[in-house]
Amino acid sequence: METPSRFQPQERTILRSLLHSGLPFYLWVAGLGGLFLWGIRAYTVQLQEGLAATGMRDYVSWGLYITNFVFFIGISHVGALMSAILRISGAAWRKPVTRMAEAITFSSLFFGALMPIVDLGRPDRIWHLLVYPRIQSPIVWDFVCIFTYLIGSTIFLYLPMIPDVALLRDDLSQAKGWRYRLYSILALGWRGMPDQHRSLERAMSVMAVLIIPIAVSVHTVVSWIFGMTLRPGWNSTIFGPYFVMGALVSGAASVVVAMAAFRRFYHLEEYITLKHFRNMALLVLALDLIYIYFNIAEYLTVGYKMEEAERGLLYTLLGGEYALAFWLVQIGGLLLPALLFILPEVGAVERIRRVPLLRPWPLAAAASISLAAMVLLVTQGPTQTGVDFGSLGSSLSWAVALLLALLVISTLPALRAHRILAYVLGAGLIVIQAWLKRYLIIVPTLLSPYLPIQDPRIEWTTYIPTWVEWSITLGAMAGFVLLYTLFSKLFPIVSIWETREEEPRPAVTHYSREREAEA
Amino acid sequence: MSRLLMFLLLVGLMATTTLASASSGQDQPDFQGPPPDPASLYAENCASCHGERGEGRVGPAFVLLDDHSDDEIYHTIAEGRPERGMPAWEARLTPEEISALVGYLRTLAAQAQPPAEEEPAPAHAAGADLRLVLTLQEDQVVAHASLRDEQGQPMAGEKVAFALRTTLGGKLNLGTFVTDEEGVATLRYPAGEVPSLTLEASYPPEAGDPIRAVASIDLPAGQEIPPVATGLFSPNPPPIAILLLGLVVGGVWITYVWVAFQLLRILRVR
Repeated sequence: METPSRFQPQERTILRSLLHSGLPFYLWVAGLGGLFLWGIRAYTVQLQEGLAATGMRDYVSWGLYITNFVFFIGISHVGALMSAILRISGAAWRKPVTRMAEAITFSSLFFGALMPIVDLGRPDRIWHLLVYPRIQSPIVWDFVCIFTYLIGSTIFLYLPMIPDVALLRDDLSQAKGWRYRLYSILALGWRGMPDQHRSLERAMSVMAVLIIPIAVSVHTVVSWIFGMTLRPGWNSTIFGPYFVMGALVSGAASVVVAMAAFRRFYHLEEYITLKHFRNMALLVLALDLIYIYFNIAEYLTVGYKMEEAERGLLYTLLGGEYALAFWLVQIGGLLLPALLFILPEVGAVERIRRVPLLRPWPLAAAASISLAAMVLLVTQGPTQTGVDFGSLGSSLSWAVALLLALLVISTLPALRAHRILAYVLGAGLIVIQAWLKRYLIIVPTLLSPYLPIQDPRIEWTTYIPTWVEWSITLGAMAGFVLLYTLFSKLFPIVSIWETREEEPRPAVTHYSREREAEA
Repeated sequence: MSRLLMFLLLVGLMATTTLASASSGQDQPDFQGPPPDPASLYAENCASCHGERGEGRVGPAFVLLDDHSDDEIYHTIAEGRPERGMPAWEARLTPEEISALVGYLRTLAAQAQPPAEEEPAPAHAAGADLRLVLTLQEDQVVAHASLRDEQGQPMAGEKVAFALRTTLGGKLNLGTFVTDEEGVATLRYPAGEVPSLTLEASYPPEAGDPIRAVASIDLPAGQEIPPVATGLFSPNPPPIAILLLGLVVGGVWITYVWVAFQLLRILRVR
């Protein structure tokens, strides 16, 4: 049988992305690998010098590592959301993007699970968690949940891959390389027989139902690690759903970014169309709005009562040391993406082109200049001198915010012409927001304990991450993207058999009957 | 007989002074009591950072005190040096007590050895001999690093750096300590609950290639953790919680096994 006839022409593009890699790909992998190795190098420094190599001290005992941990675990929720919920609800448009989501789950969960180990001063004692577990401890709950989710999501990623791996195995049967051997093992002798289909469908439907409560439990338990302690800002009953929602929105947004990247670099325009982006954007928008609602609920109930300890924390967040980051998260990371998803849909934005003042480029220049000025002012240290900078700084930031708002308005017609760009921009902002938000949940709270900090050394009352922490963070991010990239080179990132199923379902059975006749 | 009387007299005198200093220590700062005893004030409030004889530890030694007026010293104590970690004392000590302390610091500075003009050059270290002995006193590891020159004479007033050997070849600096008249620098380190400790002393601290002495000590098993108060913290988890968790997590894992069984069926189809 002629090999090409097994695949439709559009499927050939997926195969090409698997088997052919250009120079840019190798450069990309080398860059990510270099960053990852640099992170490992930084970790060896930490192993030698202990946690003294980090900026964490008595008060801030959780820093970048736990931020990364919550971030990665959050991103990982998208697998359960996209594949399981959409699979159960029978949304057919999900088919080309489910595997991207599931692979994100797998890679981010892998690095997320590593982060608490990096955070340990004595990682050689991690096995104590297995040997002397105390079921009363949220850390043990967390360990059980994350391990269960890691195994479950790996199975869930693997199951729908079996028919595709079998296709690849058959395609490569002429050239018996390592790929052929790998695919032969992973295909489990799949020949598309009805019995095999039945077993697979059964396993997949059970896993799809099972993975949802596991995923919800994972992030709930992560939030309980915070919520079960007595700390201002963490002592909250809505922390479970609040974290789950933050996880879902960041995960869905990261899928939008991945979709755009794969579409561009693997030429998957035939598979991933504007329709998919729009549906994903609607999903992200809905989750984003719910998350905004949770934020309001969380801060309003605390801020209305203004209890003694919470007051200090709220002042730091809303108007103090962390105010810039806080408002960047709330406005730039949650509100602005929602606007970027909604406003380009409005037909009236075309008329903006006619307003001469709103031509984008002069405004862009003005905004960037004033942004630079503000950054300069902030880094020049108004906090140290503390004289009259407050009002100047705040009026300047208002001016910059106004300019940025004008900039967004002026670019709306262009974004209407390039919807996908608008969606990816919004999704990217949400992903950045997700990381920053975790940092803001962890560090300011640790700096505002119930018992006031009294007379310690000055460097113990602040948290400034060291180069070791930044390097490990960077290495983990690079490692996550690297694992994801390598996965997409080893297995088709778009499910071939499921997208084929979309049009004529008999295609698969026809194919398998053909194979039977051959056999 | 007269010796015995003399002895009793001395003991009585010491007892009264101790009592007096103890009571002045417990008094409120604004209490108009006996004049403050600067020595005990110093021992209670300052010695932990500046050393028992003002030789300096976390805080600096008082060797450069002559460059400053009484007023300056008074203000430093009262307002602290927050940027260098020294707290302000005006809330806890009365002005009289602070003034008394200023005088006491002067006497300490006068007693202290003036900094040697001919600072030992690194070459000095060539023939020096550094030994480190660790002993366990209650729950503290006491490290004595004794420093002798090539003639075997103790080297006093020298700085010796201590470090804790950590896992995988790492080192945690514990600070530098000055040798006394017998050439011994002493460090106390809480034993904690580790099975053994390895400390390292090096001299001179600034040199690129100092002479080093390493010693280890095995520690008895750490003290047992005292039982936690009951209430929310039960020493043993409630059986029903274990049962529920086991049911839920076990159910999930049994489902995984079932899925694996389905995969096996896929494999077995011929």
